[in-house]
This record gives sequence, structure tokens and C-alpha cells, in this order.
Amino acid sequence: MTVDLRPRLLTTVDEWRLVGRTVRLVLSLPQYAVLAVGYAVLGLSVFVFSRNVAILRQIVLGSSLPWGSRATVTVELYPFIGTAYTTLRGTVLALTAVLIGIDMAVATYHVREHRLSVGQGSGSLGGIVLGTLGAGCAACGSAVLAGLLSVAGVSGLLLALPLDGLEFSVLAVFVLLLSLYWLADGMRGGEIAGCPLPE
Amino acid sequence: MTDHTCPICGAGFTSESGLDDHCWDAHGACHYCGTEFEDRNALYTHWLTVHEDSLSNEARARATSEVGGLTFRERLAHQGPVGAVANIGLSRRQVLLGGVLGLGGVAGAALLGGSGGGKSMTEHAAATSLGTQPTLGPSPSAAEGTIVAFEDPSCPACARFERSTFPQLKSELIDPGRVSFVFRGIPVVYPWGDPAVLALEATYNRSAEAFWGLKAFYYREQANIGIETVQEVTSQYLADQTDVDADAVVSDVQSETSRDAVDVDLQASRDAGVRGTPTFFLFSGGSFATEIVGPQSYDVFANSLGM
Repeated sequence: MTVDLRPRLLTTVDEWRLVGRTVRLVLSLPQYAVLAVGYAVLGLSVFVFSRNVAILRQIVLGSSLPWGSRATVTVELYPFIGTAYTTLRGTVLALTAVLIGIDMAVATYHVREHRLSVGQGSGSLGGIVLGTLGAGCAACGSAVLAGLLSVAGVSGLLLALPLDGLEFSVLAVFVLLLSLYWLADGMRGGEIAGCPLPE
Repeated sequence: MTDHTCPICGAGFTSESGLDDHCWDAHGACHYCGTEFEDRNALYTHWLTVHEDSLSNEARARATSEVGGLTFRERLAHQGPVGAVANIGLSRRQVLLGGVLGLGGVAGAALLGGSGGGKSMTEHAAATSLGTQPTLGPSPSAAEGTIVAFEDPSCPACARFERSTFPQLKSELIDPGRVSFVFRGIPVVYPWGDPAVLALEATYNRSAEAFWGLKAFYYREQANIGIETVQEVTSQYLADQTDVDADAVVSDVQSETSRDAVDVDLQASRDAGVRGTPTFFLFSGGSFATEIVGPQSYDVFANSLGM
């Protein structure tokens, strides 16, 4: 038995078509579309609250403020509603969250419908982890990445990058697309919702 | 009535073992999915890697006794790197449950851990030496609420806060005397932030009004300031827009007269756990309310202070 460790990269049109068809077929199933939305909202919420865990803990959950105030604080933390994110950073953050939602929905389908073990979806887990770090960096000063890098004393260096650290989010988007391809590649020749996937 | 159907020919059997025997004898294949194999050991390995959650206890015991479980190489090939490490002897449900419990533990620690909630302002690390810091509005000891802001004049996010949130905070909470706003400059982003913070300290020592004007100037002109130009633009602004001795301020910057004051703010930021700028510590009624990171909107500040 041999292990194929050749890098599998998303480079050809056919590979992009495979990803597109796989995603479209999985999301055509209502329960997986709902799952994708849920995962995306969860992912975006993780990114948003990773910077302000104190607000979540001390204001939203732990204070005696009126529920209306707590709801306002919660909602205002999100991109395009509050002021914490520029349009560019908010867009990249939202795109990362959408990709995480799609990635997790496709991985869930693969595990459930094709009776695949969790470990065989590990490519998507790597994309999720990098997506969390990258999106945290897109938010600039995120607890996730800044906390890790501050151990090495290099958090300020993020802003020395041309896009002020947004490069990591762009990398995260790439990794998430790659993990989607790995999942789709693993389902080649099979069927999704009764429709065949190319070999 | 048959409960077990061959995935290849559709023949029905009343027991799983009967189906298994048929699939192997007639088709040389797995009775779960119809995949064909050359020998039984390969079939058992396939059961343990792909169908482990579906295996009956008898089938699992038989497969394990024949092939002795899976090697790490086999787990790597069939289950990927995460499965090879995590799925050692664990079912998918066990791994999933472990993951959920682990994530729940991390989330719980994040939510329940940390310090500072309800702590008095006089005891909080962010509020050390508060009396010597530039302050707008009422005194922190007399205000309904206090915002202690750790900012860097070279920080783009701080500039966004200055543009989008600070004006409304000033007009609706600070100027009416409800909230005290305390500025603590920490040079942690771009190199020109260091001489800028020194200049702010030197200016504050001469005129509080000139200090706030200089701070606003730095944020307004941030895109046009660098390490080579910061002293020149500072001198020009102070000379043109204030009554402060611009040459004296520049001299203080060059001799680092206010270095100790900057170090006090830097140490306070470290003790308070500041990880980036801008970071704000909110106190309501003299007690710590929360920490806000980033250029959040006015509503986040006002509602967190209960105003």
C-alpha cells in the first residue's frame, strides 16, 4: 500500500469546475444549505468575539444591563454594522466566514453521506484553523493571532506588511479553497443528491 | 423478510454474517459498500478504516484479531493526518464528542476566565498613575464613567476611532460631564509613533489644549507622516496652531525628556494585558466594566457604560 503525498493544488479549470459542482450540489440540499449558513455565522462570530472576549463575558453575558443594550453591543461588533472594520477587511472577513460555512457543510456531507471518518476530512480542518488565524489578523489586533505572536514579540510587525496583516486572511481564503478542492477530489466519481460527479 | 441486502446483486439475507459470507464468496467484496478486494485481510482493513462505525462487535473483533488493528501508515493513508493521530482506537463519535468537549472547555475557560470584572478603578492596572494622564471631561473620580484609552498616533485603527467614534463620544458623553476620557500613548505600531508620543508628553507638560490638538493633528495627517518627517511636522503644527514653544518640544523629543512618562504608560499597558491598539478600559461608577479592543462604534461604548 502506498500513500500519495503529491501536493494537490487547485490549478486547472477542471479542478475549479469540480469544486463548483460539488459545492452547488451539496448546497442544493436544504439541510446542508442551512448548515453552511449556520457554520458561516458561527465562524464570523468566532472571529468577531475572539477580539473582544471581555465584552462577551462582562457585558453580553455577565452584566445587569438591559437586554436591549446587550443586544446592541453584540450586533455593533460585526462588520458592516459597527465601525471596527474597514470595507476591505469586512469583506475579506465575510468571505472567509462564507468559505468556512461551505467547507464545513461539504465536509459534513462527505462524512455523513459517504460514511467517511473524521480524520479523512482533515484537509478541511487545516483550512478552518488557518482561516481562524487569518481572519483574526484581518481584524488587526485580534486576540487569536496577536496573542500568539505577542509571545514572540512580533505582533507589531504585522503592520509592517504591505496590507497591514490582511495578507494572512488572503492566505486563509486560499487554504479554505484548497481544502474544498481536497474534499471534492475525494468525492470524484460519486454522487451527490443523485447527480454524478466527474471522475 | 430480509434485513440485509447485497449491494451488488440485491440478494437478501436475514443476518449480517450471512450477507458477509455471500458477498465474499460470490463477489469477493465488502457487504457494506460492494468494494472488491483480493484477500480477506484487505477487506478487514477496509472495514476498520471506512466502516468502523457500522461494524458489529463480532465483526470488529474478527477483523481486529485477523489484522491486529491498523498501523499508523494505514491510518494516514485512509484517514488523513488528523485521523492518523486522533483516531487511534477511537470511533468517529468518540472523536466528535472529544472535539465538542474540548471546544466547550476552551470556550468556557475564555468566558469564565480572565480578571478585572468589577475591580475598583484604583486597583486596575490600566488606571495606574491616572492622575498624571491627559484627561478630557470630568475627573475620573467624579465621573459616572471613565474610558482609559491606550492608543498610538501611528496606528491606523486608532485614527479610525478618532474619526468615527471619538467625536460622538466627546459631544454626547464627555463634554456634558458624564464620562472622563483618559489618553495613554504607547508607541507600539510604526517607528514614528515613538517620537510622536514623546512630543505629545512634552506638549501636555506645557498645554493640555495644545496636546489634544496635536493628537488630532497626528491622526488627521497620519498617512503623510513618517520617521523622517514627524519632528518637522510636529514643530510646524505647534508653531502655527498653538502658543507652545515648538523648538522646546522638539528639543525634549530629541533628549527623550518624557521617556519615563512613556514607559509608565507602556508598563501599564503590559500589566493590563493590552495586545494591540486601540484598547479601551471602561469603568462605570468607579468599577471596571469591560475592555474594548478596536475602533468600535459609539453604541458599544455608550451601552457598555450603561448610558
